[in-house]
Amino acid sequence: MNDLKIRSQIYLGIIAAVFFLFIIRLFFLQVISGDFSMSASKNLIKKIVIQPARGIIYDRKGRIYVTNTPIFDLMVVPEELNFPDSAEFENVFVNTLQTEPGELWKNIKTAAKYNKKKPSILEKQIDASKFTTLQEKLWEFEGLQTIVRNTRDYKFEAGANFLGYISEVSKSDLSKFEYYSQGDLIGKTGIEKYYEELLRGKKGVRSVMVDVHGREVGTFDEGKHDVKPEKGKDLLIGVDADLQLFAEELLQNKVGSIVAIEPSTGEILAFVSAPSYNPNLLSGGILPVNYKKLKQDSLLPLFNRPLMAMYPPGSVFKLLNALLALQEGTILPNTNYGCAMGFLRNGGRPACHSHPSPTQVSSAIQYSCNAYFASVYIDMLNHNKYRDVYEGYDTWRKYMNQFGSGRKIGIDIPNEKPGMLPRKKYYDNVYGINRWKAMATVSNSIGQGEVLMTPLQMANAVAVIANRGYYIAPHFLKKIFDATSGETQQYQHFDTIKVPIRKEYFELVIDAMEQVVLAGTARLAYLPTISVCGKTGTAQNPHGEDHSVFIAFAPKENPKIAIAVIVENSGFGGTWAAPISSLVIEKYLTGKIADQNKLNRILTADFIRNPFSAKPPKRKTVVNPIPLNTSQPANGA
Amino acid sequence: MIISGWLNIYAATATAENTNIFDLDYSYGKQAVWIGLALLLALFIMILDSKFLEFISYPVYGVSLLAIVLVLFFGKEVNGAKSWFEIGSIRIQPVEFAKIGTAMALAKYMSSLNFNLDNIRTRLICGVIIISPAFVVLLQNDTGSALVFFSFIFVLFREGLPAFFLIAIFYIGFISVIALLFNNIIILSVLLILGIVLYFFVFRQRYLILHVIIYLFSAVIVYGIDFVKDEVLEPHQRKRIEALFNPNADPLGAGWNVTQSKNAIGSGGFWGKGYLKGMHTKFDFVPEQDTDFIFCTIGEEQGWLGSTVLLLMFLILLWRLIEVAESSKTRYARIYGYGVVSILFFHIAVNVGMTIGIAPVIGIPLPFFSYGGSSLFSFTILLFIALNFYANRTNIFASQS
Repeated sequence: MNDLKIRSQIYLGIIAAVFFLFIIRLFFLQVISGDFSMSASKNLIKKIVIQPARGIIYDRKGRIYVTNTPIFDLMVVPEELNFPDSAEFENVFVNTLQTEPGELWKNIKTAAKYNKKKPSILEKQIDASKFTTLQEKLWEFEGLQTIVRNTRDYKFEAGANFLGYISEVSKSDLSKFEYYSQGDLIGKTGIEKYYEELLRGKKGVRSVMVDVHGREVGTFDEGKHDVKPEKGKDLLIGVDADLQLFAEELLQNKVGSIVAIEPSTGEILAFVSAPSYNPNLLSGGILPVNYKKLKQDSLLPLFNRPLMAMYPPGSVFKLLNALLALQEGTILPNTNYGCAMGFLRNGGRPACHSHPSPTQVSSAIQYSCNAYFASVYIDMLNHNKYRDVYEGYDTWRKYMNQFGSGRKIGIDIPNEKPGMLPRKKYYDNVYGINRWKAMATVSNSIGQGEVLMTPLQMANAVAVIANRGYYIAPHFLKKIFDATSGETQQYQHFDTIKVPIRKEYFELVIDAMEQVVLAGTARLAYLPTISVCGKTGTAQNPHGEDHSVFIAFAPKENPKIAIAVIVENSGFGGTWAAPISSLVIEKYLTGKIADQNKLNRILTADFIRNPFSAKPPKRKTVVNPIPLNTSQPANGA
Repeated sequence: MIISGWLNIYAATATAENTNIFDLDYSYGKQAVWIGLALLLALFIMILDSKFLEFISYPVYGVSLLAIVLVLFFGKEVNGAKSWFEIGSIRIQPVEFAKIGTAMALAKYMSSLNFNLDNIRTRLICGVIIISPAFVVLLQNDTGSALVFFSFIFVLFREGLPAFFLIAIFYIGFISVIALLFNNIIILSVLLILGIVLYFFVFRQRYLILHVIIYLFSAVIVYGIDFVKDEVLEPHQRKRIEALFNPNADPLGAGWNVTQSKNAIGSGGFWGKGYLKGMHTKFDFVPEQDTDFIFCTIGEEQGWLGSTVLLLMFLILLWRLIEVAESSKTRYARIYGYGVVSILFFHIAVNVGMTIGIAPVIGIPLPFFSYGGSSLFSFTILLFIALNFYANRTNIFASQS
């Protein structure tokens, strides 16, 4: 027991030692170390957060695409608010900011209720010109502070859909991320959101001495405690701003998408969603009003079509079907199938059009023969190399998946849609488990039916063909600059993905694609100086005129651009999507357009208010039915 | 007894004044009500029969354990930890009461007649009593409060647990801190050299196996700590630990509390700025200044002198409590007394330690000072149960003889 009594002494000793340690530590902190001591000063110290400049976005050619412009938040500290003449105070605000006087006082009251001592936002995002007028008067009043923020300035007024926009951080983001405080701007969509952490930089903080009225009288402790803000990283993206502008112009008065990719790198050259809007509309103080307008527009300008709209790929799928059937050996390059204006084995469905028959793979691609590919598909699934039709289907699906169909490819902006490539289970649910035959899914052969692809996936599939068997996930980011350290970093986080199909089959299909443009369904895509390889498609639309689809790459050898174009409700692929593709290709490769008539035809085409259209276009895509809004004035009038 | 009572009241009054400065609108008023209620509660506990208190030990433990389990499912989340019950506008943190329950249950169990700490089974049961609430609290994501339960190791030590355990724990703690500070390879090399020197020159080639075991054990800890830090801890906890060793790395982020808190305390100087004159604290430089970081206020406004006086008062309180515990006539009272000392000591050490930058930022309150009804109540109950035993020691003596 005595021993244990001693232990109580030991315990007391430990406690005393810890307290003693604390007292000594406090002595060092408080008495000896001058660093922390600022007891002598009678002034107050105020901590001012300095907003960092957001990273600049450059285009492919190194031109400034998106930059910053200052914008001002006016803050009020209710407790310190003091002004000689309230009428004048009111006047200044009403005149410069066009606020209602009642609103002004209400805001001040709400701020006071929230916290009397802390600054609250009185008026946010005042643009520079208004602020200069305001600033001349501000000094007369006490208790007002300003915060300088950066909002975006778009030097090329195109690409709103992939650039995204920044706006005030939401309450849920505030609670999720420690970094932000009320009123901060955060990337909401597109590149601005995906690369938010790179772009935003790091806030700085400055301690200043202020007198009793809260006016700055000098820096505190020679700025020793200050933290400099760090500018966000600058990004260089693969998009060519000129090409983007040009491509958006081509799709004016149309609904649709253009995706252009550099096949060898996966860099996106143009990414058009039509109709679009001027990105400057969603910048600064005018954002909320404009956002509401855009949100209510029946043509859905905020809907990022290349990424999110899902269409039946149409005949584009025939290329992929040809490739995988060749690789599986279920057809040979010279396999013949007949066509009698339709697929006879299934009672003439799918139907076809008039062209020489029978065909081989290449001529079938050239004429886009439905019956041929229906045969290819059915004979593959029923081939005796597979245990049953279901194993055949799974094999087929696996190949399609490798081309990027039916899954997210992994582009570097948010909200990518996976498209639709039914699993076996899907048909099991419709027809009963193992109670369906290959013929039930025959529309897969020509890219109709259940299969859906986004324009991005189509462009990626072309890139695979152009590369003769591989792709790099399509992406925007090319380089990162660090302005503080002066470092440039090539961004290489994207893997090369191989598609297991032999190169000779690709060559066969590519030759056929060249014939499509030279003497097939897409003669409007022909360019005298550049060998374009393409394939038309017509995505059937049960709700109105069909969607025109065209995919292509050029030049044939050493391809520089792969492209997918979709023009909704414009009918046959060769008529509209094909010439649009050729114009984009020509512009990108030569920098000019030789055939002005072709250009004018496209620019004047209008599929939104087309009085000559046989069927009035109902504004519907497959996935996103758009309500029949009568706000479109000339629609059918 | 008189001193501790006086200290308690003094401290309680100081709480009211301190909160007064910072949260004019609400905290002060509420805290005054809490203090009033706490005094009533103290009075109530003092008139209870000691035997009765001892009798309800297990029920209290059971109920508080049940409460912290229930809070896991029905609780409200505050600052990422799901540890609050919300009843109307009042919020209760049941973990505060679980501390009392554990102290009582441990005392009850250890004062049973044939209790012998040399027995492995007994040690295990003690361990279970302590660790089960700690584990539940850990599930609530309230690491700070969970750690409090480990302070009971001191109680076991006083009651005869071999010093080996205490030394082992300190050794593990020491190695862990070192592992966070320096490169693993360097530590292991230094330890190896140290081990070899000890083996050949101090112990003259005896205890070889022991040397090897300790060395291997240290290696496991050194690498285990990194693993825990990188894989197990939540990002905010990891940041706090990193900020402890290098607060300047991210002065706006994780290190902010500590840097600002040190600035505030440092600005107090020897004499302090005087009551209500603190500008760091007044201008909200230090977050959570009325709860976990309240010591900053004292440091800034009362200076070194005031902080020292406060720490000495806490020291006297603990010293008196140890004396009270030692003078008890029953084992229950003594062990319970040590439980109280351990809990208080842990809170004070960690709380003050974190404000002056020598302990990681763990959200636990400073006893009797931090704003909050739950903690004030529980510390009051904790303390006054001990004082009840002290006041009634003659009675117990009488009834026993």
